[in-house]
Amino acid sequence: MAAKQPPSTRARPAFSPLPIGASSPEAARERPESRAPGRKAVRVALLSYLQKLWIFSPFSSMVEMKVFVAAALLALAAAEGYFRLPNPYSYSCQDGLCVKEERIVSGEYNSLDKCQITCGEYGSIWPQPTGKVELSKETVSFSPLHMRVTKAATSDNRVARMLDNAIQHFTRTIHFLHPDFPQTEKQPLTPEDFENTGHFNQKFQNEDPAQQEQYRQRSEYDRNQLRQRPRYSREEPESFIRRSPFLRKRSNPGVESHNVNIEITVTASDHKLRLDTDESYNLVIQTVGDETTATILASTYYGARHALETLSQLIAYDDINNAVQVVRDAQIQDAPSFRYRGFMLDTGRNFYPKEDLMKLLDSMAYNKMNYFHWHINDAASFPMYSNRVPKMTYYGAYDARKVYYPEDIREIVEYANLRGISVIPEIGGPAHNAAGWQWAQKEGKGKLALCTDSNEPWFELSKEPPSGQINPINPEVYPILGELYRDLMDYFDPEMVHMGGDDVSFKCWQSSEEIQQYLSQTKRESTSREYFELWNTYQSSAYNKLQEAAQGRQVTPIIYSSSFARNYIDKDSYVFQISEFANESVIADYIKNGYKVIFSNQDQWNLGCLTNTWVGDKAENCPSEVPTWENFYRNSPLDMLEYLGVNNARSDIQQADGTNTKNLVLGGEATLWSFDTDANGLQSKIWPRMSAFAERLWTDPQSSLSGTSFTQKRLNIQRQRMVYRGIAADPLQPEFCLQDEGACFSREQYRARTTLNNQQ
Amino acid sequence: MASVPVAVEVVAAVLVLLPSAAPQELPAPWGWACDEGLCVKGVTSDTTTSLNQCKLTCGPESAVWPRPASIEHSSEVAFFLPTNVTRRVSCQDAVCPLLDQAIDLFLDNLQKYHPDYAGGSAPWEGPWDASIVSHTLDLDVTIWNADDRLSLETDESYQLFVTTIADKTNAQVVAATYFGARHALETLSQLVDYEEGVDALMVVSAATVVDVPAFPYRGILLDTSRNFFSVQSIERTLDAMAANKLNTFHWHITDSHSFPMQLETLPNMAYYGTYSSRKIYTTTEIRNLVEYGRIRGIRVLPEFDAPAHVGNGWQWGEEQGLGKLAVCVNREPWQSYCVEPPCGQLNLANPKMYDVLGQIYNEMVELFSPIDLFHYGGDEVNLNCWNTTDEITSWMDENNFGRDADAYYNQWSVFQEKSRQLLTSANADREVPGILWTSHLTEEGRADQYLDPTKYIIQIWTTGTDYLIGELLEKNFRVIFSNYDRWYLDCGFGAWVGEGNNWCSPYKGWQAVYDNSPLDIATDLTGSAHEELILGGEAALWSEQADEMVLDARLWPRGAALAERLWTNPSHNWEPAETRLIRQRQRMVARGIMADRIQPQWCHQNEGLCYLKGIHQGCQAMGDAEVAGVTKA
Repeated sequence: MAAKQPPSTRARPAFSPLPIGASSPEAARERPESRAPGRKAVRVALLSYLQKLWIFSPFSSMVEMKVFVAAALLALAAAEGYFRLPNPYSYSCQDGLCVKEERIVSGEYNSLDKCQITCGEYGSIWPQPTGKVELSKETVSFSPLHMRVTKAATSDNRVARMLDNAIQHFTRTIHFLHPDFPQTEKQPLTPEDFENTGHFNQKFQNEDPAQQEQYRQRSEYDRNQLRQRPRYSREEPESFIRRSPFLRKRSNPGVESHNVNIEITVTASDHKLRLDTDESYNLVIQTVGDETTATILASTYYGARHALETLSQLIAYDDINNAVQVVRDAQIQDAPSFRYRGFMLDTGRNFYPKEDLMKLLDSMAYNKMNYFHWHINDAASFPMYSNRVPKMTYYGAYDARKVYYPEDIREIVEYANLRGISVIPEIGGPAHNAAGWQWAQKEGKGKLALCTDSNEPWFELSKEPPSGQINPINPEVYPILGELYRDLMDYFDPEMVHMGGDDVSFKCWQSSEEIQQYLSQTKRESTSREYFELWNTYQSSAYNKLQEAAQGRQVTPIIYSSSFARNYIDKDSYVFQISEFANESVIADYIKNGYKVIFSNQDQWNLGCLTNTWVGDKAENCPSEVPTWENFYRNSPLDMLEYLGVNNARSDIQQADGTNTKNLVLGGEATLWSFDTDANGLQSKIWPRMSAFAERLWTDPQSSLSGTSFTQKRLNIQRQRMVYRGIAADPLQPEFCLQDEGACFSREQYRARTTLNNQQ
Repeated sequence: MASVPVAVEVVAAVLVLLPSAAPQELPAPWGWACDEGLCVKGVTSDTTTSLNQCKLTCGPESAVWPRPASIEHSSEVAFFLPTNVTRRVSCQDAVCPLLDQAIDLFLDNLQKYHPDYAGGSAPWEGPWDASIVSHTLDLDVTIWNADDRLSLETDESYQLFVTTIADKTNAQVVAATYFGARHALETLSQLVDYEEGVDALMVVSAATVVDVPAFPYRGILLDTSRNFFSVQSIERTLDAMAANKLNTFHWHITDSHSFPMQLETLPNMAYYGTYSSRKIYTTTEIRNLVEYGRIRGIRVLPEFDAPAHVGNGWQWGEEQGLGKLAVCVNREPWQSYCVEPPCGQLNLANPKMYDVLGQIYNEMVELFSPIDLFHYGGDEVNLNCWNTTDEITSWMDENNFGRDADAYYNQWSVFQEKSRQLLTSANADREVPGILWTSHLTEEGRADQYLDPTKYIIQIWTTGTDYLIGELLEKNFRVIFSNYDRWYLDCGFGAWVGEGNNWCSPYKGWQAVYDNSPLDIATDLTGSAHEELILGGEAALWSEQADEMVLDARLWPRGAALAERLWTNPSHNWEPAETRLIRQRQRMVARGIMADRIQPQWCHQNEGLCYLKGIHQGCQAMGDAEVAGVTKA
């Protein structure tokens, strides 16, 4: 540190005294109250009458008083057409759980929200930080309109712009905490809403500008022709704040005078996430008088973004003051356990609109996940518009509205980057290819994909309908692949590219006359050995095309684990995604042989197996029991390796050969194959199970699930938080269990708790 | 196809030369042709149509769901604009305003077929040729009688005749009741779809539909106590039910977890019982929902579950000097006193409890008025709760009731009879059939001992192979099927207490829902179908693990599978219904229901090709190991 220049604190005159996001709160406040003023007046009058009654109580007992108040307020509620009551319950933190009690009139009132963010060692932070955490038990209330960034120190202009965006995003999530914020308005902060961060200003391909312009014009033309229209109406910039209920109704003066200042320091100029990016951060909250200051220190934007995420989890709604509350004092040091915390979505089997992908990226960011593996196409459809080979989409998209255009993709990639997420595109092979390739045969290029005839039974040729696999001996295939890869470079500027390599069917090649002729001409037998060689022909040619397209930049390919991968693929050139079931012994071989791996055990981390009945009663690759959040939570790559006999899997010590097990395990990836999912079911199938997965990879907790009720409690809160932010996550339990932490216990948990109490 | 060589040149230009800005050929290269009832995808030609048009005209049932009792239709369509719909109605009294609303809903549904529909309207832009602009769809609806309330005796049948002459398509609806007529409009809306090529609607040019439901009770249960569902989400559910001609929304409104129902005379129930002040159904909202359902041909059936499944909301009795109204409320360890946390059961020993219960019934009868059925719940009573509560045990002893299981069952049945009397008096002494869940009271040899088959309908939630079903039928109880092994829609997720999957796993796929036939179950168990006793069935969404975030996807399209079983009662299994179900799912999505996907869209576009291994003709035994098996090698 000492050798480095201290970051020049960029003076930021742009910091207005206005709250973040509000162009003019006064202007917004002048908007007429939507509710009839008459009712409001009645309500105020009745409330003040009730307050007087409170002081000069004619009632013989408090109980009667309370009943009267309830009845009076209910009558009022009926008159207003809706219902507002003080909560009859208060909460206290006991042994890390929020315990519900009937509220005593004279006693202190603690809302559930307040209890949740302060109770237990980690409050409601998800995923649990890995470093030191100190949280005070007190909160302080403030209006989100009085939240300001008073310092954002970075030496890099681009990072400064990215921070602006992250702060906007953070501010929105705080406004979303108000229960009256309209749920339908909680849409992604679209790029129109913020300055372009210039991620794509650089030219990646050595194409002349005229050609680039032609690509742009044609895709635009096609798009217009195809009547592609945005699905959601666009919000104007910063419009979320105008919908904020916090703006319409102010809090009381004491709360209104409290200020929250955010001070951010970022030391490095990274503006693209990579595996070696430092995502750690330090967050300190201090309250003195009527000022609360949240200080964030991180070396990169990505760490700072995580810190804002954590800060947002230390803030909750305050129902008494129509405000929010933040933990009064806190100190958090945090860094992820694994570098790769990924999610794969398949947009080939069913299509997902751009806005849904952005919402997905938001929700990943809420859980500090950082890689989005985009399985764009499959045998069923080819929705990526290729500038160089537009016929792929023309023949391969489901319909004219189900296309990702280059500008859509760039928007998504840039949006992801701002959320701290890197996108890994996949155009996989040789299996899972049919849709889109039809055009080439019509133009005399021969068959590029085999086994696509619907008269052939799919189950003889592939794992599922539709069948289809690249024809590895057709030389026309590879130039086209090369063009598609160049498009990928243009659209994604990827750090890694996924090349597939799963579910290859030798029966398909075996059934092809063309392949059989080729084999006999070259005097080879139809044996699996020769099919492995064919696969290798495909893979090595595709690899070369990928590196050509990369034009000297480093792009690491990822390939699914298989016996082919183990026998043919150079371990130093690729990353391997392990899809074997948990604890299969072959997993250890990868580590023992020094492969860099991503864990993706399909019996534990497959999100698609919830309702999978699309051909028959249960898909073949799904376990008979649905993987629950506990499966996602429990599946620990390093523990698995220890179990499989890899020594010192959890140790940081370098092995004799200079490798280190921990460094070989990049992390993990949960997958959603979209057989029976589209945007309608997406969020609830992923969340909150993937939150459990995210904590496994961020925190890598080493204790067993003995603390399940605490984990479950925090997970319930994280689920609720995502719902507040407009994510339709699945409820794991009745709301009763959220409000009565620890009441929904199993026998084992009850016994454990009773024993604990007896010991005390 | 003349355009193909052009396309070749374009692509050649793309690959070899600098790409020109020449457009691709448009629209998409695919078309569909009808081949023996299936839409087959191929290259566009003179004999192909759009997928929508093919789906509308190809199959024997067109795209109608649930399948009508009888339908014939032409393979032609007529194009028209949604603004060119006329109406002529013949109806009586209170039925006319209902019918007007039903037609408005029908017109709104037509707008929703446009893929760019948003916020109540769609951008119809054309350009259209004169024949489309001048074409009208003329509705002519005749309703014979003046019934404006649904009952188990309501005639829901209808006849629909569609004919096209020149630039007029006439849709004639004849029905005995309003409810039949609204079903006819629903069917008509399903004979219409959007045609992208002309930016207009198309209707099957001629059709004859003669239709009647197989069962009078076709329900969906929603539990709003374990988790809360907003009024908007319930309205959406009623919309989707109407699209599937389901007619009963069984509202399990309260339970031990929360009490979200506002009662004007008992404000403390919601004050203590609701999850939060925003999670409550006001009396106005409840009345509106009842009316919202009626317009859509749906009875909103209230359930007030007792004597078990009560708890939160009942805590205020002692403070008010009424004594304990409920016992075991939130008592721990819950495993000893109830089936799931939190516990709670009514206090049989406290006569004031009946005062409160009667008051609840008074308000509910008024809110859901007029009721033709009432659900008393009556399931899962835990005797240990009562038997470990001093107040109850001493009351049992004082009255010499005894303390064994039968003694408690007796007192439970006394409670049930008192409840029935309270409800009847709340309903101005008009008796309505009560519905009860299968429980200890309906166990082998007990049901007719405690319950009168003329007064009670039993809702079956045990498995479809339970011997008890046969016994109930033979004792002349009318029944509603909700056997959990097929019709519980909450199964198949992680357990919500403890580990593993939840109790009724696995997930009930739409195929299992479709194939569950009450008449077949009755026949298997008793040798007779007992058609006169089987009122119908109901799929249940218990909400321990569902709230409005996931409501649509949990209910639909599985609820649609249920609907065809209950409306049509087909003699075949799910397989022939699959492509039509997917079409119905797409229709619900267009109407704003977030229904789940059941297959890749590829299967929708390639009918009949996502078959099971065993179903494919000439299927040969194959070595599973080798297909796609390399990764496991």
